[in-house]
Amino acid sequence: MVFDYNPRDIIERVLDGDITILEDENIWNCFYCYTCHSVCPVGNSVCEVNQILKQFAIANGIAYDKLYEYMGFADSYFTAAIGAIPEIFFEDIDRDVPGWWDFRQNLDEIREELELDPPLMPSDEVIDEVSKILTITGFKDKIERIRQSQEADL
Amino acid sequence: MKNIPDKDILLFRSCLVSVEYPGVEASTKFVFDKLGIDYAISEKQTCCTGLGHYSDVFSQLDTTAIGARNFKIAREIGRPNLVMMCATCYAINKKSVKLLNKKDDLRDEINELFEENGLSHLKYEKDDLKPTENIFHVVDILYGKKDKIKENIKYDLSDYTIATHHGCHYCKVHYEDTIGGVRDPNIMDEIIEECGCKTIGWYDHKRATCGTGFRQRYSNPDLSFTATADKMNAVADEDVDILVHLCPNCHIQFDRYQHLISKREGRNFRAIHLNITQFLALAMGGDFDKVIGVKAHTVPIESVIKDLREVSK
Repeated sequence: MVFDYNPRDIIERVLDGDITILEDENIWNCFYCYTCHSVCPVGNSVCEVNQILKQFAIANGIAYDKLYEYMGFADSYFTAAIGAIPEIFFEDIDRDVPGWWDFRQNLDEIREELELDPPLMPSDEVIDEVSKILTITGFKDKIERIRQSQEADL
Repeated sequence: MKNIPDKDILLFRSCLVSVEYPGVEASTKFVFDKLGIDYAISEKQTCCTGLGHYSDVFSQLDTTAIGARNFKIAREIGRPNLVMMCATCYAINKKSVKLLNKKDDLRDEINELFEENGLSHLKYEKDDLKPTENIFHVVDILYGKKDKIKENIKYDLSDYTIATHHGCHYCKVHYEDTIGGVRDPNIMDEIIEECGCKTIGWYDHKRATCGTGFRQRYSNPDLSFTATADKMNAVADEDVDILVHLCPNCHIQFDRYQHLISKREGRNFRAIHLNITQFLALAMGGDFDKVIGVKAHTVPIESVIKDLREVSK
């Protein structure tokens, strides 16, 4: 596996005004582990610079394909006010993690035994408020643009 | 040392804890009750946006607007101290409070959007919450009550080899607020010591990422598991029985994928994975099924914890 992620190179290119950084695959290989951020002697935060670069890339329609796999998270949050691992990954998880699917099927029973409440599903009132917020911030329109791009790519 | 609250706490529900390790929530409640912490959960609070934010689907505006709503809920119910079970919820909420207090243009933009769209009840006023005084992780609260831990310990876990994995989003994002060290993180080691146990302390890669990397685990698994394998090898080199966590992202990465990474590395990794609250709940006598939630774990807890010995009084 070739991996040439270099935080110094990213910052240098940003300082040089090198706009091609927005199309560089390396900005998508950041783990957001904040190690660079926590140790930089001059207070740089390459991970947060990466995050901003990616938002620029998305805003300019350069990197919609990077978000296709995560549309399930967007849908779940927008329609149910729940943050959830996108279902598109369930097949991989089921393959890689022994017993995971069975566990998920028994989740309600396990939560009941733990006497956890309130329930996982938010009320309609909460969902409506969250959907409204994500509409007025432009999130909903962004997701629709990404989905149209995804459908056009198929 | 910052002032750590023990009351007026909103225990902030985590999407990953809820569906992957619900025993972390049950254990947190169990331990908080033992330590006399005043807390409540709100059914109105929603996810911090974590996975969406760090997979770049949610912009900072989206995440901060959702944060403003959650902050208003906390204040409305008189519980302005948000306490997170997940390191990413902690990092995201603290950042949103900082931005809302410091970035007048962002706060104004969000408040105007709320005002123009019938959501003026959600408006955030500057300094409604303070990042250091109101935003905490569960470990902070446990640390604040660590003198009370010893008197609640029922079982002696000191024969096990114990190591800690401090989540990046607790230690490294808002490092000015991190208790117990950033480059050599020790807050959990200090809490575990109050249970009468000694951790192994420093080990190779102790401060390194678990390897989740948010989108990396799903979209770039080879890269993600390479980072995790470094850490799993380091833990195995120390013959660790129990690796203690504070973040469900890290917990998933180690517990769910240990089997896969064992095969990948050709080495039998055998550590079990417990959240710090599960470790404490276990030591305080919490039931395996009704408190710890062991059925949610992929690496069986019983593979290491075979019997429990009561502490000598």
